[in-house]
Amino acid sequence: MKRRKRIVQDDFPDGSIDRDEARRVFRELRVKRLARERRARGLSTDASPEARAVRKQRARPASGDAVGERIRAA
Amino acid sequence: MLPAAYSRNVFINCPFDRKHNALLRVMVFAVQDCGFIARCALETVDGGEVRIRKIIQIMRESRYGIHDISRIELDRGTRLPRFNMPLELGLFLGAREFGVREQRMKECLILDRERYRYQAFCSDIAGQDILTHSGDAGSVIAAVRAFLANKRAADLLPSGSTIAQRYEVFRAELASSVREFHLTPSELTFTEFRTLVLAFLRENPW
Repeated sequence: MKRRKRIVQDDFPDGSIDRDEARRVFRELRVKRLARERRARGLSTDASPEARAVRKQRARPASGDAVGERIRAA
Repeated sequence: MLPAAYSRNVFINCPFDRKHNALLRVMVFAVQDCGFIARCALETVDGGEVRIRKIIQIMRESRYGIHDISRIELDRGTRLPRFNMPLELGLFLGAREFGVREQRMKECLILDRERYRYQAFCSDIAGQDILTHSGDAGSVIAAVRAFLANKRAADLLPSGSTIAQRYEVFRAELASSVREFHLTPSELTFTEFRTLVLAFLRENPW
């Protein structure tokens, strides 16, 4: 079974709250929450391109040569 | 003429007092998180419209109904019970029985606090499948999810406990979010609350 695409609900009034503005607020709260969760797990919350590139590099499996080098060094 | 959303609309029939407001909000969240649209008599305030007409109109536009008939206690002031919920359940069942083709497709969830208690105060609905909730968010979400889970055969909904966890996150972020709009959580109208739920769910998909 597949997960359903979220239903678009555009035909009901929003009351006094602008829906797009509310989404922006919840987006900011989500970013803060995720950062809190990362900190709690001891992970970096640095979102700069350099830090992201380092994280991406670390996440990549090391090459066979690099692993051999590390084994020899150990 | 029926709205295009007929098969997504879920009419919620429950007490609107302060005590029950928390459960109404839980139901709204659960309905929306299951991909349906919560409808309720509170969504429009129009003094020029007769209340029962408004209820009938929303009911007509909703294929599904959730009827919480658990409030049978006597009103403190009048010492009389309130009959609105059973009345609206009766209207819903009547539409299903006597309505046109679309109205006969109606399906409803009846909720009470205890499993067989309704047989003592509303025995004519004995034989209907009734689910119970113990007045807490988890059991209400589980019941709503169980009801809606098989309404869209090709879809897989998150479990009740997952929806309950998501509701807790939403509740925690609600206070911060409404501050931005100079509102307080306890004073939100039904429509404002539903809009915030929708915005949260869009930003936090399954």
